[in-house]
Amino acid sequence: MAIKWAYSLNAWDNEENSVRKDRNERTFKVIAAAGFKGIEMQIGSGRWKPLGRPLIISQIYGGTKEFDTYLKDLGIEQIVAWDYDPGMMSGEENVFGRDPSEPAQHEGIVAALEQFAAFLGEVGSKYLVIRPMCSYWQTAPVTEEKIAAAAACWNKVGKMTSRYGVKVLLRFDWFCAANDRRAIDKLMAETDPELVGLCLNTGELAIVEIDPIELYEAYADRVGLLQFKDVRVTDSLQEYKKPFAEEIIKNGGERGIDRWFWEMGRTECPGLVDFPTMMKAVRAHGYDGWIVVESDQSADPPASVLFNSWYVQNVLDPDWKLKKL
Amino acid sequence: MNKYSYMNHWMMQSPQGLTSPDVRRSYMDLYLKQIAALGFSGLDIFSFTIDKFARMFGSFIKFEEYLKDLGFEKVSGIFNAYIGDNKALLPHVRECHDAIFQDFEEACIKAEGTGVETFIAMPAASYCYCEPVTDEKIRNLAELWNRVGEMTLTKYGIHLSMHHEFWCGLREIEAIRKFYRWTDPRYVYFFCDTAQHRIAGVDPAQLYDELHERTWGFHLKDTRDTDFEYYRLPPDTELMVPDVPRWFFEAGEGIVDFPAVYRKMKEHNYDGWISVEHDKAEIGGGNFSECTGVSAWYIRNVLQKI
Repeated sequence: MAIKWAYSLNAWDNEENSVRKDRNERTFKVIAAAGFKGIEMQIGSGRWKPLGRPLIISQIYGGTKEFDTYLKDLGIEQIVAWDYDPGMMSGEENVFGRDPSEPAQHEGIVAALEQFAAFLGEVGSKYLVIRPMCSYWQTAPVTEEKIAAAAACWNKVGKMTSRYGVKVLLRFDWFCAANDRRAIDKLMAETDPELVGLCLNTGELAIVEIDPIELYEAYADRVGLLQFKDVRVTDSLQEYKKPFAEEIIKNGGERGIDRWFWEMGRTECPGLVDFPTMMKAVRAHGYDGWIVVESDQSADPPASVLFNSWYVQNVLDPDWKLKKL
Repeated sequence: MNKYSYMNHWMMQSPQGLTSPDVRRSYMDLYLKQIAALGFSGLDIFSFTIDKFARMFGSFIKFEEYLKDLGFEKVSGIFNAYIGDNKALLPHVRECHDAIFQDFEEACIKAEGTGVETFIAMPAASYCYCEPVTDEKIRNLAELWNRVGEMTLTKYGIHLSMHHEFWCGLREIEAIRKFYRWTDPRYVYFFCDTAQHRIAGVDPAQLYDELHERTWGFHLKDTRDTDFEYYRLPPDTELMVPDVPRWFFEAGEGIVDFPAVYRKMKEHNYDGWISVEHDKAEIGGGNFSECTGVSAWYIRNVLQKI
């Protein structure tokens, strides 16, 4: 089995480029033309995220199956996963975010996610990607009890999603309360491997100085999905601990970093992730799932798609080479 | 088997705003890898960029080697046009022919050692600089291009093909027909720009059908408007026409009947270069990466299935 390559929609993040049906269709065509056969979507709320909820997708495309068929006609064969941040505001659910480290909120999280699991099951997707804990600044101190509670939450969610053939994958990101090995290892240890796996994002780990290759080696048998993006600097000042730390993404933090995450293989300023070595590790473990390429923070998402495609075709996976036009 | 090239009009964002990528090596890398990723085999360039690329990469041959490293086959075509602002280089004026001939020969010499196989040239200056377009002027044009085409092909192995902008002196169907009757089919070829002809009210599928034995390439691009009124407007009709800020769009996004063009290609067993072009796509906030991706999608999913 060959590795399959997909692209995340998280780079298209404003009202001009991610809302209208015709604009999204151009995005799908660019992704398909670049050879990516899958997409990853982000769960969201309301008019700002038309691809963020099953109901809105049905309103636009006529239904879940209809949307899936529409994508296949464009060359997108698989919705690979849906990304979920429990801390997000949801008008539909009348919440300003939920916290998985609070046991009292587990029931609401499980209930909120059932429609997404059903959607994923209907389109043959295997994974629901989860941000396992809220932001560090919202959660600190990150105690053993909070981590254990979050693990229990995802076991419950995993049990529910398994009814739809969907597995929960924990994705550890820069601002997440679980952004060090202690928390990651505990969450992985306390979740049921049958129900909960790992989605490993190279850039999000490298930025907090976790070696993605080392983490992959440690949990290769639990990795359901890989997300590839590069990063040029780490958060060496640990600004993720500051209140409202997410604002650093745009304001650059104390060092005024204009952009944190980058395409793979930018020659003018190589990034920190060693993708060729990462691929060797992936192949050594016989990984034959999806790798989702991300370019969030790109000023020009279509350019990022095409550039990343060249890097995959020519450096990471020459077997994936597109036929000449 | 047809091969696809990309006509270099690329504009990209930089810290200084929109720029052509040929100002910096890293920008070229960012740009050309995107084109290669989509499966293009050739790159078409403007003649005035030969020296620029030679400086940037060490020589024009080294520039082509760089393209090959990225996955391209070659520099496939070189575009040239004498707009009319320089009165010493007016194709319809016989006294200018020696200078134009020399200009082409210099370009041939610069391209020696590379795979360039086509010149794509505008046959006449801007309409406003050569009107009225008389038979005498068309005969002058034919004389010039016969001479240039014989030289480029017999001495350098490069075919000369004529590309008719909607605002150039040879835009109307009868003038175009006369021109090809009065030129030597051994040396002067037709390059079919789908959108330019459509704007001028000429059906590109029908014109290709008439000239298929002399067709040496296509520019695959679309348009949403026609023009029978403003093509005389100086200094640049493409930019000056009221109410039409942008003329060119990706194939399949306008009024050109591309399936009809492809059916004709199939009927005549066309076996040459097809160049994707969307000049000035940045107008109105267009994005070259997206335009090129959408074009490639349309080629693979619609046109190549005809």
